[in-house]
Amino acid sequence: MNHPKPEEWVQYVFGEASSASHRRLQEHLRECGECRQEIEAWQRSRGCLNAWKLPRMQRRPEALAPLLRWAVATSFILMLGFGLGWLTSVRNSNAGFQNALDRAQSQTAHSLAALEARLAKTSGAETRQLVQGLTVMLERAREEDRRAALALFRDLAKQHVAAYVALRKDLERLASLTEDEIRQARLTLVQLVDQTPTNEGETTKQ
Amino acid sequence: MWQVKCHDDHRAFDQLVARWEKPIYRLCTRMTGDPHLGEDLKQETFARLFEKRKNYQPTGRFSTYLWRIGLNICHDELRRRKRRREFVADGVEADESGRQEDYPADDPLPDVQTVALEECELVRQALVQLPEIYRTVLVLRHFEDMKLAKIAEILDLPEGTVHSRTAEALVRLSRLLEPKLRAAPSDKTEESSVI
Repeated sequence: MNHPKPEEWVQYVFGEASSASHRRLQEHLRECGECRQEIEAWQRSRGCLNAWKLPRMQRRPEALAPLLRWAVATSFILMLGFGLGWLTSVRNSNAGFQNALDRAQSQTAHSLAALEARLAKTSGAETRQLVQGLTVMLERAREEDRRAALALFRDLAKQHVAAYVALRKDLERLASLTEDEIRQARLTLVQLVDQTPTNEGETTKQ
Repeated sequence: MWQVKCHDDHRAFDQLVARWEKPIYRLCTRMTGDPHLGEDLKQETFARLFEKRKNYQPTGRFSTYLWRIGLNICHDELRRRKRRREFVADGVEADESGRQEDYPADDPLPDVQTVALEECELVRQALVQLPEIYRTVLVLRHFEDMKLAKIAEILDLPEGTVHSRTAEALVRLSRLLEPKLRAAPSDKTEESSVI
């Protein structure tokens, strides 16, 4: 008997065989005890694999955050409900206690208002102090800037004066040199003029 | 993934992690047989995914890319463990029984040592005793319910090779499980008779 290849059985066992192949393999299983035994063992083993359950994955802390928020909100609402329920039940049963409670509430409200006012005063004074400090600091910074700018301008003016003096000296030197050269040129011209008639007299004599 | 690659978008990466952390945790745990190690390897997988985000080419499916990274990390870890075990064995004495252990975390978990081996533990031990190549196909096909063609794509193997490896994996698994499963009910009956 020709037995199908193990590769074919894999597709059959995992439900990936084509319908024709599936029918053929099923037919073979009915006839062949050897293959039936093997494939049943495979299927039993596959079934056993499902017994390996994994423990739950550790949840990331950020994933728990919304849950925690909801838990806090729920517990707050529950506490509020319990408190209100308790208060109303007491009111019905004991009017004296209700008066005491009202007094306590008004006292608490007063003390809260006083505390708020004190806080506001304190915070106002602190704010003023901070603003004053900030103004002083800003003025100091501005003064320092002004000083630095002035020093810079002075440096620049000094540099300009030095450059002007140097330029003037150069110009004067140039002027004196030019004057010397002109004088020299004049002398040369005079000498040339002096020499010219002598030459003419010599030529006429010849 | 494109957002992560091009814009280093941390929010997009967070979404990717939320979508894939469970499958990758399952894969790493089933490949190593150890949930704690599976958790660590899962984190390493996502760390590597982010580290290599610039290398990602959107030509293939993202899932294939991610499964490959996860599997590579599992293989690296298993190889490291095997080497360490061989090193320790060499240092102490030659293996007396001559049995070569080619599987990673085959020792029962500490909390399981004290109790009788249940079916779950039997399966875990049997699976980690399978060589890596067979365990991989079985984990992907059975536990992750992937088609054989998809497994071939992830492992970059011909489909025929995946079929034959899966067949061999089932043969070996049956050989490991059948005697134990046959023995388990008899143990139970013996216990009940004693009681």
